[in-house]
Amino acid sequence: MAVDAHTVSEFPGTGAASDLMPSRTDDTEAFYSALDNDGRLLLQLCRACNRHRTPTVPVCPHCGAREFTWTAAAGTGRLYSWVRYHRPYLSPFASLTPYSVGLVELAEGPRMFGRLVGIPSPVIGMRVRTVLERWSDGVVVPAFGAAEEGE
Amino acid sequence: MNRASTTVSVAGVGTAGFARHSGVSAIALADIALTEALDDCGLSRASVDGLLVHIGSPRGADYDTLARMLGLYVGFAGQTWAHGRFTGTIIQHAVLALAHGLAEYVVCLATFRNSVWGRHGTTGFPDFAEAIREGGGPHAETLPAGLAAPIGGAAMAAQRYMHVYGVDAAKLGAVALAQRRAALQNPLAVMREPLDLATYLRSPFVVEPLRRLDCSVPVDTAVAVVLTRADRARDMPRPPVDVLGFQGLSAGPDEFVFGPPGLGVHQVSAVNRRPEGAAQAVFRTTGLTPADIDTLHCYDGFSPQVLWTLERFGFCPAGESADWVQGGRIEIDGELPVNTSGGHLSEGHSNGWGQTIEIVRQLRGEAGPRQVNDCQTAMWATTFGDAIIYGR
Repeated sequence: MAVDAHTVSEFPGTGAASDLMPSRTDDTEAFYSALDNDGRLLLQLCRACNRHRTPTVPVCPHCGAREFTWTAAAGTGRLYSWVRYHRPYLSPFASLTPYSVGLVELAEGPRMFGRLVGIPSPVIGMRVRTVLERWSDGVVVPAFGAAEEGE
Repeated sequence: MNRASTTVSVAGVGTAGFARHSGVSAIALADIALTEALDDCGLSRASVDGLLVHIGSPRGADYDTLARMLGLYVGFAGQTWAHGRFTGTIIQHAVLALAHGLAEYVVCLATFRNSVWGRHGTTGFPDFAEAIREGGGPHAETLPAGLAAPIGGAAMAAQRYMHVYGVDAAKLGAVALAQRRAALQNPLAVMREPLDLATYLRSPFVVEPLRRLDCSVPVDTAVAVVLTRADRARDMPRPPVDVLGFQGLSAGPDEFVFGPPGLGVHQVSAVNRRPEGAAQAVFRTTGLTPADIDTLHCYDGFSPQVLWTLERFGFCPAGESADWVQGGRIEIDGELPVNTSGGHLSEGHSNGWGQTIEIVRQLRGEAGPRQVNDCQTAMWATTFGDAIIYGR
């Protein structure tokens, strides 16, 4: 496991994540395969303006440059907003309802959506960390748990 | 002054009404609305030479199908992406086409039948496919994260907004209560049970912090709006309602469709660089200010969108709308009557077409018990940034 890899646990719901995702493209393959194969959460770092970004896009929305490098996210951040689904809209999450989804501002800057794991009472501003979940089809999806002391 | 926007009027409106389960096809609904709108302005189908359609198949019907099946021989046609945000866009396209002589009589037609589809977020629902398109869903749908359906993005924005400005959940209820009170005076509205604050607060969360009563009611409906140049409209049976000015949809890295600019939901900048309030084009080009608007009609898929529209267009300062709407201020006899037909929350989710008809009725003085006193101007505005001011 690489130094910047995160723990991968089993997704407690059901179903295939690939049914819920856009088709992988040349642009996004590296992002997805790093999650599935290495347990790493990658961000794009623009070589021109030095800003991180996610979701994966071929052009920097800040400056328009195409050149970027992949960097591993530290996986830490703060909860920017959150919601709680009291009704299942998607069958894979039916057994988990009610469940919460967070919008997390990563330490590197970009925001990312993920299910909140083991956070019964989310509070905006709280520190969270990435926890990866492997679905039954092998696809790994980022989620977030409460940060441990010092994170 | 934008010349094009001063020369076009609404000459006729019609609707098939609003029903949870109509049992009527989208094309039949469209025919009812079209017939009523043409009767309203004394035109025959043969006179219609422009058709703009909002919401195509599968929830509605496409422009070519409608023209063929309804016997419209048009030389100017168009259709938007199947989303609720294009009501203003469609009207604006009609105005531009008329001002440039592309057509003489344009029918804007919205027909949709929601009752035959499953629930939002389920795989059979037409919107589900949008969530897995390249670049993700249009309302921040991120299905593997469990963030499904438009309500997810709206709730995410509402939670952040309520946190930043310290909004009390009970105060949000003023929107649903005001619009329900208006709907009690609207025979076409689907939600006509009186509503009080205690009932609102007992309403179950769907996606917290949004409750069932913060959500619009899906319906089957069709609405037709006939527009023509103002000089022609003067000779037609109904009092013309003029398009005084407008501004288009906003988009960009600083815009999230279900939140105010600068809130920072999704990847959106937490800084608002957009012109605010009266500095916006719709006011600059008409010479009007928010204080000149007699009634406001806005897109209310979810109740917080009403608050954000009030702020975005300068009816009250940013972050203060939840306090501002208290005490009957947005009710029919209040300082700024809002969504006087009941809006999407109580009349039924018509993507803003029900509001468009209501604007016309208000400006014609035909709104009966809902009539706003001395109504001279009415505004359509959305959290997406577009707006139209109508006058008589």
